[in-house]
Amino acid sequence: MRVLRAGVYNGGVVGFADCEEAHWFLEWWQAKVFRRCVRQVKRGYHFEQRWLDFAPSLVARHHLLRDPGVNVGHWNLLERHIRVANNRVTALGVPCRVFRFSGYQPERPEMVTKYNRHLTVADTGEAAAVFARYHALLMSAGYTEARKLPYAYETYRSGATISERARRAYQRQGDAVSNDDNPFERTSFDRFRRWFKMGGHPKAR
Amino acid sequence: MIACTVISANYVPAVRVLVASFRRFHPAIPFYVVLAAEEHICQAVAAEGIKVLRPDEMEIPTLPALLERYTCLQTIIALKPAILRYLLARGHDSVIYLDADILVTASLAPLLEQVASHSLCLTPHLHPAPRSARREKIERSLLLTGIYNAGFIGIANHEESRRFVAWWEERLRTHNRRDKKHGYHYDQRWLDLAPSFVRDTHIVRDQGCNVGQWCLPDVTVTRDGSGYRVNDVPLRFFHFSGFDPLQPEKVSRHAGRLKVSESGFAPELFADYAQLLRSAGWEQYINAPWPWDPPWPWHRWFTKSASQNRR
Repeated sequence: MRVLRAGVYNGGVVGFADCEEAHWFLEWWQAKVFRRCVRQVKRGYHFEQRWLDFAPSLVARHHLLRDPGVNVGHWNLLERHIRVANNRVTALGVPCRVFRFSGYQPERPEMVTKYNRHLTVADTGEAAAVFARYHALLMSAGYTEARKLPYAYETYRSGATISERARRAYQRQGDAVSNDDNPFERTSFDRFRRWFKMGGHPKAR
Repeated sequence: MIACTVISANYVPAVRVLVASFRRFHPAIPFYVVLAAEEHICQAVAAEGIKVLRPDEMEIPTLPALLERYTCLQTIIALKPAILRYLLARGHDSVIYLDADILVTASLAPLLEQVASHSLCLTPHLHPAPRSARREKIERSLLLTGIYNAGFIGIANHEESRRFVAWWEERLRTHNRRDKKHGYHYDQRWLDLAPSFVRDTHIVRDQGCNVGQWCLPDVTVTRDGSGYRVNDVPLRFFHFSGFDPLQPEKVSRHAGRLKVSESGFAPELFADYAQLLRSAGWEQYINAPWPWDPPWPWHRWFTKSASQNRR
């Protein structure tokens, strides 16, 4: 049931061949995601992922990867029976090729994911070694330093932080915002602020 | 090959029209109708030469609970996987399910070939098509109601398809309801999982199969001799979802106030179908009672099975 709400296919692994159908689908997907990359389960949105449910019906030459070693993540971790032997990881007896650390927080290395607060690394048996190794790799790749870096699109050109509320208000505007407008520019920001103060009515712009 | 549908008494006229239109093109294929109604209605329909099954003949151990838990519409939908499971268990090599509000307008032979050679065949609501304003709206609503239309199911008797039907029946036993916020839409949302569960799922890409109001405005249906054409392929069967023959000018109750004359669908198709339904006794059966109505309206709220249903 949770899968029906979040999307049947995982958006973490998507492969495309260079053909007309794939270009068509990517363009369609991009249009959807540029407009509504939000998580509103009640309305059937879950970022980019729910839109992928359409893929088998829209793309004639699609293929669903059924290799149990691809895209092992917190949602299927326990049923894939991860084994670690001689530095090789296997899932259901086949080589584990892609492992998803979706929602993994190195600050809380005992938890598998932030999306399931009951699943601890200790519950996952031999997969715990995979998490330990990933933790070490992240740390040596400079996780702690990178953590402090700001998000590049977090402030207006003037340096003022864009609040979560302002962002959501801008999203709600939907197609009413012109794509030629640069909302980061000071002038647009002023206009935006004026609009925001006037209760968000499109005409107030 | 065998065909089936599930109805309650008020859809008897629709099923008469469906079976007649199906037999016109496929007289050799038996058509089973599960009729959840009182005994005398079952006998009357069986006397017309339609193969009638009653719900209690289908070996459903939880049937009494099902009838108590669900309304008429929910029960009819929950019986859909049950009839598929029952027919597959009796050894039929392939089964197609058609909703009762479908009209067959051309031979289904190419479709039946696909059904026979794949574990599961589904018809998606949308085919790839250019973007339009209404299409955008439909795409958003399909995220909540399901990618594939549950008005047509084609199943070949394979191990994985039997497993899928059993899974579907089990889900619909308790979670067959319309609750968009939580991701339920009767049986249809569950079908979204089918391509990932059934390895040999085939998605029918024939635009002439299972055309309904959701195809608008990307399709036009035009008269072509004795049959119809969808864009440039023959219309094989049309799904009159939400159509009311007593208001034959409206396309569907799911399409707002859209009129047939403005829709791009051939007006003759709708006029003919409304006429067929009326002459099959639509007005006589429309108010047929559902025999398993609870003794008083709030009964379901207070019973144990109802609380399971709401969860």
